[in-house]
Amino acid sequence: MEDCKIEIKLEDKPGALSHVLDIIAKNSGNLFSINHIRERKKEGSVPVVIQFQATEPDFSKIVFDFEKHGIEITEKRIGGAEETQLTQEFILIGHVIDTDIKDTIYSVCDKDVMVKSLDISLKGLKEPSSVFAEIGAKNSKSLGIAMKKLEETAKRKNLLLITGIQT
Amino acid sequence: MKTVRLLLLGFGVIGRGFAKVLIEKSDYIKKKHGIELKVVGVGEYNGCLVDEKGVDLKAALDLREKGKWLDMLPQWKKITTKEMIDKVQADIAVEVVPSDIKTGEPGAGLIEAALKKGLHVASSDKCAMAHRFSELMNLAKKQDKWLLFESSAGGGMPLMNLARECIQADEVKSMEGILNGTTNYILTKMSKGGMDLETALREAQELGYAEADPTYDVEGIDAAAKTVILANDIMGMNKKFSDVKIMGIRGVTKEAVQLAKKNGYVIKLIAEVNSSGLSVGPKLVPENHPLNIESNLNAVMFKTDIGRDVVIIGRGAGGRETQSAIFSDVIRICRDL
Repeated sequence: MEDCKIEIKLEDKPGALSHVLDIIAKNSGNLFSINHIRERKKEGSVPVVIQFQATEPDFSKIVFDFEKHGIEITEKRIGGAEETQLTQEFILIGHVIDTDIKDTIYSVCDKDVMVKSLDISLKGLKEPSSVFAEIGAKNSKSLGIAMKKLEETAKRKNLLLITGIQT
Repeated sequence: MKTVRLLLLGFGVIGRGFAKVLIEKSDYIKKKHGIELKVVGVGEYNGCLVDEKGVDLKAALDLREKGKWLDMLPQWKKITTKEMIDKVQADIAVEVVPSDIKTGEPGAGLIEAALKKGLHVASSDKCAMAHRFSELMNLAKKQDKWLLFESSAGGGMPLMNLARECIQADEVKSMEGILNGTTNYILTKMSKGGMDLETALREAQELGYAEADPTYDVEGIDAAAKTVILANDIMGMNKKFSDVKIMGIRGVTKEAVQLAKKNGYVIKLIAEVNSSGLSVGPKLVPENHPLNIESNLNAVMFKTDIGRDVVIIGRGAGGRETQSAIFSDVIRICRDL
C-alpha cells in the first residue's frame, strides 16, 4: 500500500462527496483525510484534497473512475512524490468499450506504471470508438514493458493502437 | 559541349514528365552544365521509338496528349524495351516504368539489362529498388556503373543526394518521415477539415492526389517500399520489403483524429527506421513537431551523430516535381562521362 493524495474540484452540492468516497472505498482505498478548501471555492466547485492508502493498480482504478464520472482531478500523487517521470500518449480505435476498456487500460498498469488521463469519444453502438490516454511510468524499462503489453492487448482485441512518434 | 545519349524506359506520367522538362530545360542544362542530353530511344510496352540522331520528343508528347499511340511516328520499331537496350548505343538508361509492387518487375529486369549492357542507370522505380536493392547495387558495382534512384523515395526531395553529398562525416542513426503525399492529404483534411477518411479520400482523388485504386497509398505499401530504399541506401542496411512492419490508415476514424487534435497532436502516416527495425504506421505527432506538415507534402527527419536533426520537406510525387530528382541523377552521372 502506498500513501496517495488526490486533489479534485468537487461540485458543491449534497451527495457529491459521498460519491467520491464510494469510489475510493469500492477500489479498496483506505481513507486518511479529507480537506475542503472552501476559501478557494470558485464557480460552484470546491477544491478537495483527499489522502488515502492504496496499491498502485487500485490508485489507477480510482483515478480512472473519477475521470469516468466527470470528477476533475487537479493533482494526483502516490508514494509521497510525483508519481511518474516518463509519459506516453496513445490512441486506441475500435470496439474499445465492448472489449472491456478497464481490462485494456489496466493491462498496462503495475507498481511503476499508471494511467494519468483518459479521453473517450463514443459514436454509435456499432461504430468504433476512440480513446486517447496518457500513461506515466517511473522509468523507461517500465514504460517499454507497459507499451509491449498494450500492443499485445490491442492485437488480441483487434484494436488499432496509435502511439507517439519517437521524438 | 558533352553530348550524352539517353534511353528513356517508359513513357507514362513520369516518362512524359521527363520529356517535357528536357524540352523546357535543354538550353539551361547546356548553359549551366555544358551537357547536351539526347534521347535516342523511348521504350513503351508494345514497341520503341529509336533514332540515333535524337527522338522527336515533342511529336511523341503531342501524340500521347491526343490519346494516340506512338506507332504512328516513323521512328517506331516493333521491338521490346530489352531489345532496344541491347541494340541501341547509349550512355544512360532512365528507367521510369510503373512496376509491380509485389515483384519489382518489369523495372528490375530492365535495370539489370541496362547495367549488363554497360549503361549507367537513373531510376524512379521504387518497386524495383525495394525488391532487388542489394542485387542491383552489387551488379552496378561489378559493372562499375552508376545506379542512382533519388526520385524513387521522396520524389522531389533530395534525400539520398543529401546523405551522399552533404552529410559526409555524420552517421545517420535513425530516420522518420512522411513518405506518402496522398495519406498526408487525407489526414490533414480529417484534422483541419473535420472530414471522415472516405470523404477526404474522394477529395484527394478528385484533385488527382490519389489513384482510382488508392490501396497502395492508404494501406502504407507505397511508403513501405520507399522506407526500404532509404534504409538500405542511407543507413547501409540490407532490408527487404517483407522486413517492414506495415499498418495503413484505413482504421483511423474522424473521432480519433479529433481526439488527437484536442490533446495537441495530429495523426500522420510515419515511416520509421531505427534500431528496432523498419515500420510504417499511423503515429501521434505533436502539433509543433517539424513533421507536422500539411496537404500532400512529404518530410523526412534524419537523426545524425554530429549535425543532430536534419529535416527535409518537399513534394514527394508528381509528374513534374519528381523530375527534379531524376535530372539530378542524370546530371550527376554525366559529370563522370
